[in-house]
Amino acid sequence: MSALPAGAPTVAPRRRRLAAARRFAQSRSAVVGAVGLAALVVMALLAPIVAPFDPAVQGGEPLLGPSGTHLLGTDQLGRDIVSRMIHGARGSLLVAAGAAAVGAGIGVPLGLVAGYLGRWADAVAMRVVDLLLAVPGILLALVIIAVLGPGRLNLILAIGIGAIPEFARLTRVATLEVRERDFVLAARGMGASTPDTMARTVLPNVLGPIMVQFVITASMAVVVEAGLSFLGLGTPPPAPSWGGMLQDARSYLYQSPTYGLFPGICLAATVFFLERIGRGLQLAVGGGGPRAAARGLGRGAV
Amino acid sequence: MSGGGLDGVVRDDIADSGTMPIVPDRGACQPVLSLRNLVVEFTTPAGVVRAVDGMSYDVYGGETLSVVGETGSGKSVSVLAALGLLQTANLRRVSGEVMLAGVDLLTLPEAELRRRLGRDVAMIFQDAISALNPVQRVGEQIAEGLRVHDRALTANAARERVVELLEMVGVPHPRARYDQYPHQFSGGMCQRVMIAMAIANRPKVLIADEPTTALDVSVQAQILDVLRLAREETGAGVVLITHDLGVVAETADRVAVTYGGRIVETGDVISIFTRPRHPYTAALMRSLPRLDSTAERLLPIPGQPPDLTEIPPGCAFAPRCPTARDRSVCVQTRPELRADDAGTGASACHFPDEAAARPGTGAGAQPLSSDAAEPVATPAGAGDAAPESTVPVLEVRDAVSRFPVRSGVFARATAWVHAVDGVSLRIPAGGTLGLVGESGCGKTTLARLVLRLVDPTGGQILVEGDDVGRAGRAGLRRIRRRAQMVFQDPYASLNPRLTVGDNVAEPLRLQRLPRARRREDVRELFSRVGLRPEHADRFPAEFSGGQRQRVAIARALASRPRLLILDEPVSALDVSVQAQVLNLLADLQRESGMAYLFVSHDLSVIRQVADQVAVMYLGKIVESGSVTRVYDDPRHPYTRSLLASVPVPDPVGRETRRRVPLGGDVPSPVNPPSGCRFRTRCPIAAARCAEEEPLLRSVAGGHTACHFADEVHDLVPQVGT
Repeated sequence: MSALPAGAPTVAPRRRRLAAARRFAQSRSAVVGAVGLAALVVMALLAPIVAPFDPAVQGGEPLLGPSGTHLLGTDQLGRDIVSRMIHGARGSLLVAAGAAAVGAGIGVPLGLVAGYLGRWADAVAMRVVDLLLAVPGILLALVIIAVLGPGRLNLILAIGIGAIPEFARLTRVATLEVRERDFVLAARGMGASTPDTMARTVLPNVLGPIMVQFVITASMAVVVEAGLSFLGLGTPPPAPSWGGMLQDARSYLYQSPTYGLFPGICLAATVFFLERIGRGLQLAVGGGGPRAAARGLGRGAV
Repeated sequence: MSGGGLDGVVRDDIADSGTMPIVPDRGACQPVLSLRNLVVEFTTPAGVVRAVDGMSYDVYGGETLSVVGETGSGKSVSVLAALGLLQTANLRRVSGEVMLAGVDLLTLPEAELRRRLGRDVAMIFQDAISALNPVQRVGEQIAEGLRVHDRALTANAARERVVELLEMVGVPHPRARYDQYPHQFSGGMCQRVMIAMAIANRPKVLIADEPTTALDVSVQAQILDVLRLAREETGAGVVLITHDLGVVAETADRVAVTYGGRIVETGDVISIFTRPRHPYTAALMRSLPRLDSTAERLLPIPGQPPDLTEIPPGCAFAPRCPTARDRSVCVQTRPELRADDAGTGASACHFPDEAAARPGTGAGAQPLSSDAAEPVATPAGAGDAAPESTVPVLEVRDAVSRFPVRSGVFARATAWVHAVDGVSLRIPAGGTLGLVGESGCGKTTLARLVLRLVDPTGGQILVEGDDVGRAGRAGLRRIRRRAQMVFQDPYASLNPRLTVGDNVAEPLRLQRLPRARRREDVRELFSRVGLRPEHADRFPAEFSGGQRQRVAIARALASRPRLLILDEPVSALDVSVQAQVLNLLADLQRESGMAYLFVSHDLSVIRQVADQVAVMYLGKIVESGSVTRVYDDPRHPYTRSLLASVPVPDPVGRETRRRVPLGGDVPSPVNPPSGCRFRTRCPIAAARCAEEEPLLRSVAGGHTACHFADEVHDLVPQVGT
């Protein structure tokens, strides 16, 4: 769940993965992203050990500036900001990965079926997607949370459902293209059933762009989670979250400017790392085979 | 390096030009274009690829120099690099000299170079349809080319000149056609427009990069004629880049053979074909299936083309060369291009005389005798040997397949494409039926009908007696196990996300064979098709086209089918590799007694592999019968024209050879002509042909659908007129 790049769904066997990994590693910015994200993930996992204080305990004086004991100071209730930031990473990353997984888990099969079967299946699936698309993402999330109530799981669902259309449309378009290729016809000619062809032949060949979309969705989810927390609809207190911290900090901007600065930096860094990884993946998996990726690498010396 | 060697050749050539009747004005002038020691390198993840490795050649005004070679031999890249048209970011280096009218193009600034492109040197590309701007009127595109180089030209004068040009390249109704868009032109017509555009400014050099490769044979013959006309009209030197030895033999004055990024042999066309002085040239000639050949077996070049990331220190061809054997000089020292004694050609071989002396190299001079001397492996399982009493492996009765053409808001079918319109055929066990026809004739649709990859509209298709059209889900799966398909493009037909081993194992997995059995079977299949079993865990991208086609064949064999449907299985492959695959297919058939339905547009290939032939035109079979009946005694005018359109890879006597190019294009299958569908292009059509559709009837031991099938025999001389 937490290791985003490696945990993204992949059916590709080992050798291909190695080749793709090599290409991924050739893109320096992608490596920066992967290392950065890995550091954040490790930090989140080891939060109870790494964090100097309990994030929920109101131990110190409120709104202290940075000092030896409280590296970044304390918040309005006297809680250690560093500890809250470290624990907040858990929430943000979990929501990011969870929402992307929900979006891909529903959107990809929807797009695959729509694209491969076409006709009425396509029409029905795409109208559902259009319906979702018609409502702005943040509004959709607001409505879902209003119905389901706040909570981390509901947050994941709310953001994830908003991500379904992107996955479904992307998968559908990629499927439409792959469907016409000779190896799909060859699979049918061998006597493969329709579900088998979709899962075994078409899906692995549309995974490239989906992996990229997965990372993009994750970074989007981090921002939306922060936004919803900022509105007070995200992670319920006292559990810390970056967005929640930002919202609290807003009221004390003059008294304690460093309070809001660091959660903001964490948020920006996470989105930046994810974006870099997405870019690297794009180059590594390319459009079709390695040749396309090689061309991509040649062109995009970012 | 090699430039020095060739300089000598060139001087010899000029001095000697009096003895070269085929290039009359060569001695009088300098070459219009000369490449000297051109090197082109690309950076790829696999390392630096040296696509062109010191290439030098000259083109003289009024001659056609054919640069011939296989995929990746650097023939196209050299020209694109010379004209500064290579724009890829991974281009690493272009060095050498490209002299055009006394100026080195490689040193020119971009603006200067652009002024010369289109004026002094013009290009004709393979894919004419995509080379034209789809949203601009055809005539205006040509006029634009004129006015860019001649600002003083008025719009009206330009228009007149364009109409003249269109008329010259054989575009009918040029005045009306001027205002049409490229999509209203057929592929052949687009190529004519490209030629008109190229010669608009009377360039000194005309470069044609595979100008007919995307076209059907009958159209190819027309375009080659136009190209010849264009050369005569402008006096330009033509560089014809092609892989097709038949086209070379029909059109070239001189030939440069490329291999591994270098020129391995140059010479006038007749000596290249009759007395090749490089073993690669000789081997290439031998591996070619021929229309006039009776050889049972082709002689392919063993091995694979060289890896351009690691060019060997010696001769690039040495690993595949029959002359090199174990001679150390071939492996260690790179042979330079050296002129022969007569000074008319040059060969980059340490032992040019041995290459020339090898048996079978005289294919051009005496094809029949040399072919007869080749080892003849008799296919025991050939069709006629199989018992006729048993159920045929494939029987097609009156198959019909129509596709709706949808238009309008409600996507209602407003017209129907009759892709296959009442076709019947049968193939016995161990037999090969060659299905031949031009693009759009419905041959691929027919092949797909057999596996019901396309749903039939009518008729009956029986695979070993089982009706494909009526089969249920399980029945269809059983049929698809017994009949397998091999596709044209081995780059597209393998799943790129599975290893080649897993690709081959797919049919076995679908039969729910346990994993261990599958692995065992894959090993066996790999060795049967001549692949190394230890390569099974590699991905398709790591293989060359020929190897991939072997993988595709192995996959088709996995379920032990009784029928293989081969849809253009070798048309994406190079000649030398094509021969390997054709021989493999012949061997497999002999071992297992499979029946083949072999679909191809290539008449020479069909002659090589098939025992029965069916010729398709616009969804119908117009002629069928044994190979000898159809090829040696064709009764349908279409078959005759097709056979006459195929370029013969033998330059001797090409001036006197009767070439009867078919006029026009294949009509749209949406509205096929009434009566006989071929009548619109038929040289002997009469009033009766428009009214009454000729049925396929027994003629001279085969079947022909022509009212005049019995008389056609006497009408040969009139066919061309």
